[in-house]
Amino acid sequence: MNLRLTAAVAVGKLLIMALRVVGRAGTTLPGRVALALAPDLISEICRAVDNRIVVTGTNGKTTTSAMLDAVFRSAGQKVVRNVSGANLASGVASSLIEHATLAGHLLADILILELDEAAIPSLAPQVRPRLAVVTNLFRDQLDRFGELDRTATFVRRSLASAREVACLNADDPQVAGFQRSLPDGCRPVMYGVELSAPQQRPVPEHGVGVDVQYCFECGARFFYDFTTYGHLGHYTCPQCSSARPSLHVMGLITGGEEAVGGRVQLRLSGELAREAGVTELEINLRVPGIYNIYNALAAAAAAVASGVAAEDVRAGLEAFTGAFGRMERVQVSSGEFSLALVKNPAGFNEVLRTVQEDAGDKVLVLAVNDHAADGRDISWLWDVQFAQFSDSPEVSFISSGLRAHDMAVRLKYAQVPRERITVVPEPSAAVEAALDSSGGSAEVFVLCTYTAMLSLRSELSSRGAVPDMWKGVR
Amino acid sequence: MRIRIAHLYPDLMNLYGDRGNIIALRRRCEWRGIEVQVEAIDVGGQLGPGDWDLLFIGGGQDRQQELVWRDLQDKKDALLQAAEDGVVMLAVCGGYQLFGRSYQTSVGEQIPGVGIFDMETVAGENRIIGDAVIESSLLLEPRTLVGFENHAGRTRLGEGSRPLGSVLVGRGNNGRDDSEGCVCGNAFGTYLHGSFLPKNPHFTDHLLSRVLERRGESPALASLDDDLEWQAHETARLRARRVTRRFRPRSLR
Ligand SMILES: [Zn+2]
Repeated sequence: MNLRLTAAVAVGKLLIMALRVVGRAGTTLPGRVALALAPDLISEICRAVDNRIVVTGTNGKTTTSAMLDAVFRSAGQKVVRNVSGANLASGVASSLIEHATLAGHLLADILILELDEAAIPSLAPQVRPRLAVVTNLFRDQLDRFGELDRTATFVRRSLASAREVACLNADDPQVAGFQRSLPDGCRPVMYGVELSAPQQRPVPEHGVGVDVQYCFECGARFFYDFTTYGHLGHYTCPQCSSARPSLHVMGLITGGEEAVGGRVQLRLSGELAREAGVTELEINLRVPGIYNIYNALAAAAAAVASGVAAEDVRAGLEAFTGAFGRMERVQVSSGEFSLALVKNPAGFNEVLRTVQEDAGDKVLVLAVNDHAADGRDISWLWDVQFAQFSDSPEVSFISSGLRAHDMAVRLKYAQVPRERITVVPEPSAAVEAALDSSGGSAEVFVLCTYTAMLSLRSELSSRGAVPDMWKGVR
Repeated sequence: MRIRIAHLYPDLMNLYGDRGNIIALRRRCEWRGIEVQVEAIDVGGQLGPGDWDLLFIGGGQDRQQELVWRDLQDKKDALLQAAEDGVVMLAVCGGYQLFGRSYQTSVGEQIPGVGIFDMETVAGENRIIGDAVIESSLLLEPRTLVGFENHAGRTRLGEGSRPLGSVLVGRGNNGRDDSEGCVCGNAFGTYLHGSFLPKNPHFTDHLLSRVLERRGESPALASLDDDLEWQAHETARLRARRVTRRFRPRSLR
């Protein structure tokens, strides 16, 4: 028995309990203290479970991890996963401590860790995952990550720690390129989307939410057969041979744009199809949006590559109803609303697109904070597309958060009429104002940056409307 | 009346919501009944003399700026001529650096610039990141300009160059001499994004007035209801003070 580890775990567990008594989530401090006592804690605890999976990328980490969790559970496996958003070293350590025995053992079949892109260079070698998933790379919190190319370098290098499989999004040119630098013994599993009726979406206008458009090999501008989400899509380089690689896991979307509600046909090929014993699988997702189709594909790819039976993959994904703060339905005494996290242009655009699929009257609360966890630089709001709302009298806005006025200015310059923009800086007051003004006849959507969501949740949970953060997730 | 705006490399140089600057220019014209035409100038694109009233270039990632500086060398003569003719220009962050005389990368490579601004930039060891407030050298009311800076380059202005302002909060051109940005005739350069123009409506209008003046029109602009813009300006000023206090230049401590 490693006494240092045991002491660190014990201290960590005590801190978690103490913090919860005073109503705090305890997702970072216990881990930080325990890591100071036992710096090798993460690798020590991880060793107990051979099947370790890490999920990284800009958008979809939490949802993909939660979907994987659902899939493994439907296969009867015991899963340990880190708390949503606790994806830095301290958060990972806290989550491990919570589930470990005092001796530092994890009683689980699978360990699923969502890891922050900037923290992964130091965390991946400690975790040494059997399988790694990369969802996508979009511009995100440039004040913290620097340039997107830097983030990409972090993720690419960290894949050197993946022991057996790397599930990569083939539709993201930068992520797809990682397959060329995988370590020996690690095989790529490429997943992506195919549309039965291509070119349903216009190629995005100049410079909008599109981060990667130029070939990494020769610098020529990519040609897209279609784009699905930001710069994701089916690309080819007109100058050299670069193109989207062939897919091991294809998500075929049939029936046009409106079908992007969540029905997807999964097609497996090659070795994966042999392992799974099927080549086709029809999945009806209960969560909307093309981004959730990508999350489901990532989860399916990882699960099949981990030997989960196709039927369990389907059952798990179909049972999945949403991750923490990702279009979550919230009930309060004055009404009901949908709550979603927004943190970068690509994600924000897709959430807005999902909101627009709802045809009726809507009130949108947009709460933007500028703390470190949100990104101190709020420039990215100008890369979100709001122009579609200039001529939508059925949609009104309440801008909120520390940067409520910046949000309001953004809407104003998108030609949203001034009378449809209200500023209510305090997020829970903004939500109440939205529910009031909707009078029950309009749908209320609340879109928050990270800390705005945390402050809204703690306000709501003190009134019993939502579970505390640590109760809301496993 | 129609104002013609050239947006240089809108795809390659659009790192920090730089397109917000174009949106601000466009709207503030349209709200006053002034017609606007924005045209994208990409790598290989032509930049004919006398075609433009206003020219904008934003910031990009290193990899993209590599493509851009080479192309800018082809456009150098046209750009210098335009600057001489008094075409109004706004260059932000990476574009600002490339409009100087030269940029020295972290590995010592010397990249030639366009030379509109008499200044040189050298890559620093770490990035300067944070909210920034400057007191502008222009006759603006209020004098403050607000934004967010995120740059590795340390820029030194030449003898005859005039900064856009002096740093109140943040680091500015180089974190040492309190200067931020550069003004040369009708050309303006700055490290501030955020986006810069939407929450500095007085500066946006200053650019537009210069355009009108150069066209031989009255520079007076109809006033607009800028209530939201000024509240955003004020929020940015206060947030910068709170968050970035420890970055204040030595002289202000
Ligand atoms: Zn190519």
